[in-house]
Amino acid sequence: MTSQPILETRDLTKSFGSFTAVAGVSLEFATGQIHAVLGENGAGKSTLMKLLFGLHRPSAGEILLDGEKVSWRSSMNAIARGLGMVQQHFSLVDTLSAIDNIMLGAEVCRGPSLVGKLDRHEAIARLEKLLPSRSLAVPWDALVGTLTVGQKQRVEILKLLFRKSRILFLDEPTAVLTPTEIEELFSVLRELKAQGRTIVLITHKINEVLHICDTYTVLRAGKMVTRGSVSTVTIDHIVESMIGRKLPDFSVDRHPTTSDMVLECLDVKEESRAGRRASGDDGTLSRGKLNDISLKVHAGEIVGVAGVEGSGQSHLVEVLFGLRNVSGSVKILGKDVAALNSRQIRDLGIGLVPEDRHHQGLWLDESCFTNMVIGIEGRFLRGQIFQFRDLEKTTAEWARDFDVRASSLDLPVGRLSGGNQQKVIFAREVSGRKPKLLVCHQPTRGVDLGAIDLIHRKLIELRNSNLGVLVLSSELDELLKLCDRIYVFFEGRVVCEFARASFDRMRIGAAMTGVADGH
Amino acid sequence: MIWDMVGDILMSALRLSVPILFAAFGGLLSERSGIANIALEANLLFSAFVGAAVTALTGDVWVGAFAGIAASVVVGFLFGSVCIWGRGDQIVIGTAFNLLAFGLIPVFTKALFNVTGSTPALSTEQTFHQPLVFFALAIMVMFSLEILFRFTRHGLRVTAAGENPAALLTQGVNHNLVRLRAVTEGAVLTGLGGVYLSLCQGSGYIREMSAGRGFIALAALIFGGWRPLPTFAACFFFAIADAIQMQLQGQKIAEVTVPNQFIQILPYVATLFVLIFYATRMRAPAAINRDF
Repeated sequence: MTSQPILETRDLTKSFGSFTAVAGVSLEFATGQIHAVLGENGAGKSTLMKLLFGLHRPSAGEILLDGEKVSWRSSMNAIARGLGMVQQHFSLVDTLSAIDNIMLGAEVCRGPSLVGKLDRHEAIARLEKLLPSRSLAVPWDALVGTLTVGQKQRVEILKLLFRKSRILFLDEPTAVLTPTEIEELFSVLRELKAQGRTIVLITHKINEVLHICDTYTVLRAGKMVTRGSVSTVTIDHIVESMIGRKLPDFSVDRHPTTSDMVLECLDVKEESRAGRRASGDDGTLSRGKLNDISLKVHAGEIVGVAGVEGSGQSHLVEVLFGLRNVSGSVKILGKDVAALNSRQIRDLGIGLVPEDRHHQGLWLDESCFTNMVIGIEGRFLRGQIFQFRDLEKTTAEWARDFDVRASSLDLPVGRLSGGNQQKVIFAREVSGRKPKLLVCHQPTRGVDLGAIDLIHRKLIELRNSNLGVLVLSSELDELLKLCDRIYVFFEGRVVCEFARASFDRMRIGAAMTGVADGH
Repeated sequence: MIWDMVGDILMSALRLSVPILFAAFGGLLSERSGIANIALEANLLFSAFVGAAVTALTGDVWVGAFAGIAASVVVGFLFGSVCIWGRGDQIVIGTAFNLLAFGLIPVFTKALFNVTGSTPALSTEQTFHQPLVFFALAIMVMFSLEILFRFTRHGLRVTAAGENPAALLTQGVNHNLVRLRAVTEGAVLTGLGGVYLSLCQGSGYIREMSAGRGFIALAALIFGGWRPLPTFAACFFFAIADAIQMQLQGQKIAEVTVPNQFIQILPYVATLFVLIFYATRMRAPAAINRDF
């Protein structure tokens, strides 16, 4: 059972000035096992990985590979010795084929080396010898831009196999995958493990990965807090060590509520010409274009939109706020919004927690005070003069509602943690605007577990006080936990609608890939 | 009579297309690697000027031609280096190089020949007389580029550098060196176009003799979707517009004499229309004008 660890760290420490990102971490990764490295954002996971890959030099401590001390001069040393990493954001070239992407940088060539004629047959033959089974194969000649996210991830894994990596690090591997794709990934990982490879999963999504791992290591604030064998641990224990306290049980108390319609979309369809303002995510692709979307949100109900990212969620939000031209009708609080501009729509009583808080939600260099009144600053004006005392007193109350933790609300909001930034937005959109309809797009992306818990509780509370909430999220578990109903989007269409009584993780997951099987 | 005219126009388009073709292919290599190259005009001007000046000074057209190409390589290398390591906006840097060419060359001509802006006219022995050989060379370049991008390691890396440099960087390949090599190789091609201007199409350097061909080449390259074969076709289209313009000069159309100035703008109007109607549909290399 206790094989010689392939990779070890001893008291590894990295300081940046007075800040210690990694403090005396000692780890062991046993050969041929799957290891989970868990921790919240900012716990030191990425700094630790950069140390292991030679992108940072350790301030103290050592790294041992195969039992001998190593000190990397660059990441190339680490890669040459068999370490490989699949980043959360893939580094692939969409306009090149899968095989070209796989061999890029380690091309198989014939002829004079100045030009180098590619030998793709030889590259494919070599690669296929390395595969544990066909399940890891992708269409070699297909352009990577045409592959699914799951296939792209496999291309990244294949890049590592092609370079003979013995230890595979995967950073947040499940973040972008549908439930079906996650299962496929796990079967691939099991096969790679059977080949004797060592796999390290770096993640904060404990539920999703833990059951395929052999060991776990939890980091918090740069320190290793606990580690051990997965077979002897509970998820609650890991969550507790990740956030350093116990999360109270999330018992959902759902009051019956009135059922006034707050949002109704009927046959919303985008014309073939692109909208006035493309969102940039997939503005030119037809995949994210809305196609006969009909959905309803009542007061006192949380309605979810599930789907792979880019299935039309961003477009829908832009339509609701008047940024995109469509046919069909959109009624908010009974009022057709076609003729209204964004400001007028907002003033009907609709709050927005946008997808990308840095670009759409906050003014990062400005104080929390300022950020909490953007868009509603008019009510603190007397003539043309801001009533700062009133502004600061009122916003401080809003910040208290949402437990914004900052040493001072004068701080630029960019200096707060992701969770607190998100709470600032919630404070503005909910306490500030007092909306009848709240639209939350990826409400907990890049937010720590404590803040996620608070946001979820608040949303249920708001629902019970008769607010209509529309949540668009790529985190299926979040939707299952919060929603009364879920619409599943696929390629800009609603493929299914599920009521809370009939929620089923696998069926919703299948619908996200376009497989609809009734209601 | 009409067929004679079509023949004339085609032959003249063939000759006129050569500098645009070389500049467009030079720009293609550079842009596919992620360096937006609006300094093609500067490359053309410097190589045309140095080619003519060295020929005038040494009396040997071959020495002049090589010197002209070398000048373009130096300009391309400097442009690439400034873009890559100066980290400025490539469009601004390109504009600076163009302005430098407009300003610096007359200074040199004044110093060397005591004339502002041009070199002495070259004799027939001091110029090339085979435009078709240049044209054939351009066709060979086109096929070589197709092969480069489809079948070779260098082509693969150039594409990766232009689309997603991180894909190279994570494999330990320095995308900046890939880009610099591509820009410099492209400068060889553009240099050929410049040398053709002053040593084959003309005899000697005339002030600003490239007359916007660098920009027309850029338009052709965009029109061609950054691919060699369609770029070739686009260049030829512009050359035909230019040839028609030359045919029409001084001729009466329906008994009305059209002022020459209106006819001369024809190729530029064609460029403008093509850019307005087609260029926005073309997909540029994703990482163009970006470090990453």
